[in-house]
Amino acid sequence: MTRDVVTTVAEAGAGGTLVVAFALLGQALHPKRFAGLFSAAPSIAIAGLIVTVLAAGDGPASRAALGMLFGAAGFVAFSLVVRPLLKRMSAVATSAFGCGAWVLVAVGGYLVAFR
Amino acid sequence: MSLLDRRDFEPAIHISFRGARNVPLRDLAIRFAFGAGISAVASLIAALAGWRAGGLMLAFPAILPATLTLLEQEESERKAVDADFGSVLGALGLAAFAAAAWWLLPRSGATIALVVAGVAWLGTAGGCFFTLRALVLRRQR
Repeated sequence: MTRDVVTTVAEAGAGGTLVVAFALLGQALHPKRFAGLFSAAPSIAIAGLIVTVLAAGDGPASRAALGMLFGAAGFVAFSLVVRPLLKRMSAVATSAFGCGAWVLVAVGGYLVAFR
Repeated sequence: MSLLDRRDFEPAIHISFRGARNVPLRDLAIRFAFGAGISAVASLIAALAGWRAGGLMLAFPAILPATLTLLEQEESERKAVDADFGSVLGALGLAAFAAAAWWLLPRSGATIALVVAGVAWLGTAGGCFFTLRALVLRRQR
């Protein structure tokens, strides 16, 4: 239990830090079309996989990376859904729809593949 | 707005830290909280449902929603759309990252696996971008 709490806190701290770092890098890069690449940087993934390797080993981290493949497909869906909606509604509302698309593709695809 | 307009690919790629230095602390705090929250959820899901299920969240769009919102508010809708275009390519890179990490972690260890995965992300995302750029600029010459 304590180990799970420590792992979660460590992953949260590392993930938050890397998200900020990549976001700042994206802010510094121009044009925004190129900087957008870094909006999909593997910040959470790097933090998560490093903590997983340290906490549980390479095997569990590899399994996490397999799950991440479905998350990446969801991310593509998010980005594709958001683009036409940005012209019609606010970025906040658009992101909400995008998250719905992510859930549909990532979680749906995962359940189809592994259930 | 055409997806492959020459004008969107013409500006030279450059880095200017002035914009990054002027980011309000509040915006950084929001991004940190979002990233930390997503990571914590990933860890909790892994604890409850297994490592593979937790891995889903490793590719959740943590940076993009805040980026789109801030760009829309502080610059323009066009720049938000541009950033989203880039994120599609970045997401393809995420898939390459995940595939490389999945394959190499049990075979080569964490250090090699994560370095190669990082190169795979950059190579895929950047490669797609520069290939598209070259095609668009050549076609519309």
